Parts: sequence; C-alpha cells; structure tokens
Amino acid sequence: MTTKVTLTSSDNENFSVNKEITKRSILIKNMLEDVGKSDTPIPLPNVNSKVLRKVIEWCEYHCMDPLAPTNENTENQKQNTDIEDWDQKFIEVDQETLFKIILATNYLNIKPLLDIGCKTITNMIKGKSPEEIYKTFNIVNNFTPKEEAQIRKENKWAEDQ
Amino acid sequence: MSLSILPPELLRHIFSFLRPESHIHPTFAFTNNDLYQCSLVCSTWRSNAFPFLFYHLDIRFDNRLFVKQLHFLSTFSSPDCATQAPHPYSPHIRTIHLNFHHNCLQLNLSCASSLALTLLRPLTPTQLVEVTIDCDERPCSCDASCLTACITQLASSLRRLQSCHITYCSFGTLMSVLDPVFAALPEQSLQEISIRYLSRTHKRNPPPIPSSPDQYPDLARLRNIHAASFIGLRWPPEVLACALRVWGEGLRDLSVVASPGLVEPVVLEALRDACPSLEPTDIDSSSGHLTGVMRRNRVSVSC
Repeated sequence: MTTKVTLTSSDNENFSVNKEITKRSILIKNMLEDVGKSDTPIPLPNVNSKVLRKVIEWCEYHCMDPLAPTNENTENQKQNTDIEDWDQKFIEVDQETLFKIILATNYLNIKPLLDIGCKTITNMIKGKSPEEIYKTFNIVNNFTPKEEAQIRKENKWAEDQ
Repeated sequence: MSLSILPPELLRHIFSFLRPESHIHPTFAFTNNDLYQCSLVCSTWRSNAFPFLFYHLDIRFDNRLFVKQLHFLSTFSSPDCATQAPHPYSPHIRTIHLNFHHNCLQLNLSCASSLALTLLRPLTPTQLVEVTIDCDERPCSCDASCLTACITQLASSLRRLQSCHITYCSFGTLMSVLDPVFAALPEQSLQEISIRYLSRTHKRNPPPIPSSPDQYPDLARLRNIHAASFIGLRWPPEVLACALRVWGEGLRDLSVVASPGLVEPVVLEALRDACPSLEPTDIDSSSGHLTGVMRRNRVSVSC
C-alpha cells in the first residue's frame, strides 16, 4: 500500500524509498508537493550513492520521530551537544564521509541529521588548541599579517591568570 | 579532504553549539574557551566565531579578572591603530550585563569605568536586544562619574531592546542613576521587563520611598510587554495597575514576588478587566505574591 519514490544519486544509482520516509527531507517533501503524482525519479546531483545510502538508513531508523517544528527560534534555546546512542554509532564514519553527510543533509534540508553531524564536529573541536584543530581538520592558516599582529596583542592579555 | 569544504553557514552552525559555554563571562579563561581557540585557527574561522564569542558582553566590576578582560577587549579597537582592528568585536554584541558591585580596595573604579566606557561607545543605537543592570548601593568614596557616563552611553543603544532586567538596592539611586535607561526603554520593541529590589543593608528599617506614583518609572509608557516580573518592591499599586491596563491582552506572564504593596484590589481589578489572557493564581496579599499564567482554554481555542 505504501508508495515508493525513486531517488537518483550523483553516480546514477537508483534508490526506491518509502514516500513517507523521503519526506524527512524538506527539499524532497516540497518537490513532491510541487510535482504532485509522478513516477519520475528525483535526481540528487549533489549526493553520491554512498552518502545517500547512509542518509536513507538514518531516515528509516527515525521514521517514527515527530517532524521537528520548522519555525522554532533556536537562537535562544539552550543548545547542547548530546547525541543519542544510535546516532552516535551511526555517525562514527571517516571524516570525508562525515563532511559529505553534513553537506548532503544541508542540501536535502534534514535538520535533525544536520545537527548530529555538526555536533559531532563541535565535540571534536572541544578542548583542542588551534594547532590540534589544524591537524585534526587539515586546515591551512591563512591569517593576514594584520590579523597576526592583532592576535599577538590579544595574547598579552589572554593567557590565564 | 579538509573541513574547509563546508560553507561558512555550516561553520557557524557548528560554532553555535559551542556558544552556551563560551561567552566572555566572569570566569573567562581564554585558553579554556573553545570559541576563542576557534578564532585563532584561521581567518575564516575567526570571522565566523566572533558573532558567537561576542554575542554577550559582561561588564562586571565585581569580577577579579575584569580589568584584564577590558584590556583584552580594547585590543580589538585600540585608538592608536590608524585603522580598526581587522575583526572588531563590538558589532556582534546583542546582550550586556552591567554589574556595579565592586571591591574598592581591589579595583580602581574610575579607571575601570573609563575603560568600560570605551567599550560601550562603539555600540550602535539599535544593536542591543537584552540588558541586565545590577546596581550597587554601598556607600564608597570611589569616583563614580565615569560609571554615570557608562549608563548614559548604554541608554543610547537601547532603541531595539527586547528585554530589560534591573536589580537595585535603594530607590533613590534607582531613579537618579537609571533614569536615562528608563527614559530610553523603547515603547514598542520592549517585551520583557523585570525589576528586583535587593535589600542588603536596610533589612530592618527600609528607607522611605515616595508615595506618589509620578515619581516611579513610567511602566505604562511601554506598549508591548509580554512578560513582567517584580520582586521585593514596595511601590504604590497604581504604578502596576496603570501598566497592566496598557499591556492588556499581550501580557502572557506576570510574576509578583514579595511585593505586598503591589498585590492590592486595584491591581487585581486591572488584571481582570484588561488582561484576559492571564489567569491570576497564587494570590497572597500579605506576602505580596501574585502569578499570572496563560489561560489554557484560550490556548486550545486558538489551536
């Protein structure tokens, strides 16, 4: 009785997914509403099959969750970085996959999974020095000489006690 | 693959989860502040961490590290720079906590408050959304003229203020020192107000306060208050009754605690006539308690 929707990844793999589950993605939900009844596969040119499989796995596990309210003012809510056990296990992936899941969920507009990905990075940042952060995330220091000078000035006051 | 592939809005989303623990706050220890550490990683991280790092500014004269914090902040906009520092912090400030309590032996008030004044000066008239002010009433011989200047400066940045929280210890000072703030509270945008009287020195014999409602802050001037809280006040009930008639249906949350003068028939009448969305509960005029909560049936009707 359940309707299926076909999603096509950037590397042309087709995924047949329960329609209700695809609605976890606000992007796809809106697309389905705009298009109405149609059997045409939905192309997702920004998501490869490996990442799409992961994302669908998450949506299937969380299919019974209430849909998050969209208009909440999250600015003022106390945010914490706790992640549920299942999600914690789910997100234990290599960094490249983690970044790609974040980009994909941002594109697909799946806020709860985007939050899990971002919180995972937040937790990796916590307690690290700038040098450790460079190494962990492979970031290049691109400060201008002016910024370097400013940081030296701050240092004078910034060391503890 | 590097984290740099994430666009700035996602970087900000990541930083937003660091926010609650990482304000410039009284126990500010820079090396333990994750957001500050992020601001030292690279130019992109710095510009995206600053809005969170400087969202809230504490100007607490009772804080041991206060002068150090002021010096730290002043490096971002030091006047000897020909041009501004590459990333000035002041445009990011939305909430300020100003606390006058200070230890005269540890802090040179005149010097500290003039530094604080330089921090407040770059604020634009519309950038603050929330202000908390704690007054100090202990008599001391410190030169407080710069402190008064700080208040006046702060008052010029309240045009879009949404929340205002004030604690005072003597009525005379409340009105003389904070008059510029009360006068500047924006009629339309302010939604939340709380005023608390903290009696430290006059527990037994509180000094007399004026009996005429004209001599109190004109709360009825504010049109859009959604939440109001009054603690320990001995104000004439007319001050609150007038305000309730103006706040009317918009008022969703009222809390009066230990303010016997305010829980009078005239206030309850105003509440009944003008504030249909509030259900008065816990009324106790002898201890001065009154709570108004949203009526449930109204909520379900509107759903």
